[in-house]
Amino acid sequence: MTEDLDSIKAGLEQATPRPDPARRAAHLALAQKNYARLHKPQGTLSNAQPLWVLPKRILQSMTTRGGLTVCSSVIATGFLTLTPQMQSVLRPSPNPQITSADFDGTVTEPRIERGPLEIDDMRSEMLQQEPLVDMQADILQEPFITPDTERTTPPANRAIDITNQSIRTSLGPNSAVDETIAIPELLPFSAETDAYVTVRRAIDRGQIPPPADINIAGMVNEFPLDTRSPVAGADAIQPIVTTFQTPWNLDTQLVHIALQSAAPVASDRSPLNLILLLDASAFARDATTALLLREGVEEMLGAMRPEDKITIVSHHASGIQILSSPEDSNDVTTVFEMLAELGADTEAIAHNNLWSALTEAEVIDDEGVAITHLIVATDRNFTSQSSEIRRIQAFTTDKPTSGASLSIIGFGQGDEQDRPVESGIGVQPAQISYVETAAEARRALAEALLPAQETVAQNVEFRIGFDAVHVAEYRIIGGNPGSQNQATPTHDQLDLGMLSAGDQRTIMYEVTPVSEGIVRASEEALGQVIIQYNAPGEIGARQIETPIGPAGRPGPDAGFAAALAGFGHLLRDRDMPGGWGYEDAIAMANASRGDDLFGFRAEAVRLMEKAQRLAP
Amino acid sequence: MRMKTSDEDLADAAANGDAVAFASLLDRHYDRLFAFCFRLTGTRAEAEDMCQDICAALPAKLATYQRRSKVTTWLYRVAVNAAHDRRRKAATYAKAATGWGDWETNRTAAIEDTNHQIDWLTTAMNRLGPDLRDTLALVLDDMTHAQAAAVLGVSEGTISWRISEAKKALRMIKKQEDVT
Repeated sequence: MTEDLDSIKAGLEQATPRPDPARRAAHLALAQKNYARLHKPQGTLSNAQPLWVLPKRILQSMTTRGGLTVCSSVIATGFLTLTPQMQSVLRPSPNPQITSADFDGTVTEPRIERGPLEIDDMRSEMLQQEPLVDMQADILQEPFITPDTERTTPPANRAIDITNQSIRTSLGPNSAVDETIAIPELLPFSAETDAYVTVRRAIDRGQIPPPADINIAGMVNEFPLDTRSPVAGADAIQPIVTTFQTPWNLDTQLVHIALQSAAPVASDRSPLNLILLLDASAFARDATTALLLREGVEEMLGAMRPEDKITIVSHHASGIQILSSPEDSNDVTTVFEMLAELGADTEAIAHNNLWSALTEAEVIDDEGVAITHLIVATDRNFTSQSSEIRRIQAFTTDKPTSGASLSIIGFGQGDEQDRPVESGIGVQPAQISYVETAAEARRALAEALLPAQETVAQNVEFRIGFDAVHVAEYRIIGGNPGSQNQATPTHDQLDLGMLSAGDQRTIMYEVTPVSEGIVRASEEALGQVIIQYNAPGEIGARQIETPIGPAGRPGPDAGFAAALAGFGHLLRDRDMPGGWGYEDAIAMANASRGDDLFGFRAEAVRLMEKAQRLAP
Repeated sequence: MRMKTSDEDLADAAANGDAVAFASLLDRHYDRLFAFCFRLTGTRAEAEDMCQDICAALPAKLATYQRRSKVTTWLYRVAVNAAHDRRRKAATYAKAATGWGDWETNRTAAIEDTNHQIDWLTTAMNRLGPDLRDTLALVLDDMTHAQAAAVLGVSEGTISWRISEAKKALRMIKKQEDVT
């Protein structure tokens, strides 16, 4: 296997220097000094130090297992009384965290560090202790709720009058008066969480993410549904409700609710005339990034129709070059060979001439065909330069690109911190997306072809009611760790906000049937899902009611969501009832791949396999 | 007598407060660690800085060492994480800093007849990108694919795929070189 690598191996061996003896000695001495400090009994702690430094110091000074056991319990108790918002304290990333380990040789001063590896490992020690396990259950899992026996339909059945600032509630047909009452604040539900991305990054780094970072509801919502979106014209939102046996718990069932709004149909769109601008410097330096881009471009070319026109332009040190004009056959291999060659001459080039390069480009022929789309594929560093984005946005208001939709796609790994403030950066809204995996690349480029998405439903509210005759208790899956809102006593109502064309939301509940056998034999509904929303420009709410049917077989969407939820539980709790484990999650996810349009589910399976190897 | 003790026993003793064990463990591995840091970064200065960071933090990180993995695997993992941290920081200043090696220093430092080869090496390593470079640094350090996978926290399959990608890229560079 080394044949091709022999020359590079020899080169590396020749190039590798011997360590400088003086530095070597200094580094070893530094290590010794820090070691001695850590293993010396600690003196009294300075009052000025933040309290959360305390546990770390104790953990560092007591390294035997017995010592850890004793003091973790003490710390856990301390945390309980000091900080009710436990999650934010336990969460090591992405927020900077203060620890006492320091690279410059001092250990007494706190220093800011990102997601240090040792915190995770120590927490796993801590989590084995009783007090924390109890709290974990309280904080990270929603408690079961018993359905109200008085009520078999969802709570307050009301219409929303958007013309009035205060929300008016109609108490139903029998009510003589409409009165304005205080409506309990609904639990906000956001699909834009990066929950899965957070988990994937941790696992890719070789770490099991900390429990507070695992937002199962968020993870499930990051995966596109396999079910085709409803046809526009009917109800704006189509709910699909599936009930099935909980894979890891024979005593409960899962209720999977997929909401989908009608997506713009590709065949309805007018012919495209798009420019794809590739930043050669971003893709020549890193073969992996270039492969991501290629995945995306292949997907995009596959989604184009004969009447669509595409011009692929490369931007490199000495200017721009057309890699493929509308008349060409759009051969991906040729395009990427050209890109690689151009990139080979590319030192770090300033991004600030990307805009002028575009204006100089002869790519814009004046045959009267307006440019409909401008897609800029570059790296994450570029997307952090909002001034450049603004200039490109300005470009899309010039003729002949006026009105063109603009997508900027940043390829490669990066931190949230690199992201620009996406609101208010410009004249013309740009779709900015970030791509770290092949599936994300395929989706980003395919979605760049779609017309701008319109809002199809506003003030979307989700309500669920379980029939106490059939359901003993229920809870929402995954909850919403991002929300500290404990004011809402139950999670049978959620505020979904606004939905655009093609948006999807998945909500899952775990229910305990009243007694085994009865529900499964029965054809009766377990309850009902009610969606209320306002269509844009309409006064008065529309309502969609869907019964929750008895348990059956899960389809690809419900099955995959269950596998993912189980995976999240495994990451969080490590142990599942009945010995359900990673291999079961993987098998279930594999069996529920469906069409997997962009390959997200296949990637998730690979991530589960990776986590399985990391799991203790 | 210490030299006969296994790495893993030394690490255990060091984690339990044996300063002599810690000293001999680090002494035993320093040179290999330095060479590995160089392979990750391509410059002596970067490798030295990294080694300093790692040495300073290692006493605290010792608590994360778990008996079931080899000391070298654990140590390389610490080094890979340190390299990632440095790259991430560097990336916010200048893109060029995330590359491998240093054209000017290497050129002037190299003696005449190896000059071309070091140029070639620097070109090749830069063309590969960080993931492939890290993988090569491990595999060319005589680590098995399984060990490299454990260090990088990826699957063995990913390592094999990366190695084949690296080979492909190197062949392409060679081809281009032969043309010119």
